[in-house]
Amino acid sequence: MDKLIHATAAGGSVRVLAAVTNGLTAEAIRRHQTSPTVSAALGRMLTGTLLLGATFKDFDRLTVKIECSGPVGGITAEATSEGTVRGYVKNPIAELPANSHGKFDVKGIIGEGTFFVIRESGFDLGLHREPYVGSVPIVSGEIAEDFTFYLAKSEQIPSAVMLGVLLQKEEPFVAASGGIMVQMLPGANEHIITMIEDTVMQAPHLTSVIRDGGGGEDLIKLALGIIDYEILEEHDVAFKCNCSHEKALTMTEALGRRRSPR
Amino acid sequence: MIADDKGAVINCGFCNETYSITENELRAMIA
Repeated sequence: MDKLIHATAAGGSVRVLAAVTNGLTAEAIRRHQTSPTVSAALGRMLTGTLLLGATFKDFDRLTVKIECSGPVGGITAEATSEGTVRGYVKNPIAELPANSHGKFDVKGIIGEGTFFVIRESGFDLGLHREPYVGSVPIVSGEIAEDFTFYLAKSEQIPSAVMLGVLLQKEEPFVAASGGIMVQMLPGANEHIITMIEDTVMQAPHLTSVIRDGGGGEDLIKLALGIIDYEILEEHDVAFKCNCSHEKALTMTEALGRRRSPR
Repeated sequence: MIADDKGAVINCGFCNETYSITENELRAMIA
């Protein structure tokens, strides 16, 4: 079962979230029949959206959407406060050759565009509040850097975000998928920030930790190094869609009589 | 999209799940 773990460090001035998402990324790939590069992009988006959602106290649904000029056309992920996520891409079979580092060219299939974050709340209370919408230009296309840029620009939270998907040829095609989000909250001192930056720069890639059987806490240690931390909570995360036969009926009915079959 | 049997299929973009709506269900909608 995929897990998300939430911790704090340095007297509460650093928030760390880590998730192992092999199962939900594999489920998304299976459902959308995505190309390898799109699979990596979709897995990163689903994981990043779950991590970002876990930092907000008050929301029902968090949507992260990339509208872009690259061959994938766009990627959308939607997480709930219960730890479920779903997502889709406009062109699941978009593909490019590996980049100069021999990695999936996620940046290439995304290209230029805009990174949106839409936070909705109040459903359970019967309220229909205006959603909060933030947007920033895509600065990287590698997705993790775009989450980082969004957090810095729109939420004014200095952060480090790492997202990774390692694929394999055999089913379920995902050898490792996960992410880490480190946020510096008010009170984080320069020494701690420098220590974390150095640790993250020298850390092994998170997918190698997950592939070797590491869990969420191993990812937290990867980001924090020798800094002490306190686990606040750990919960399951999963790919889950809220569609149903009943909703399909309602949508069809909403098309109206004039467009119904005679 | 209307299928040959005059029912319909609707696809969820988020999860790629397909739902079949029968002709009777469609008729009930417009009754």
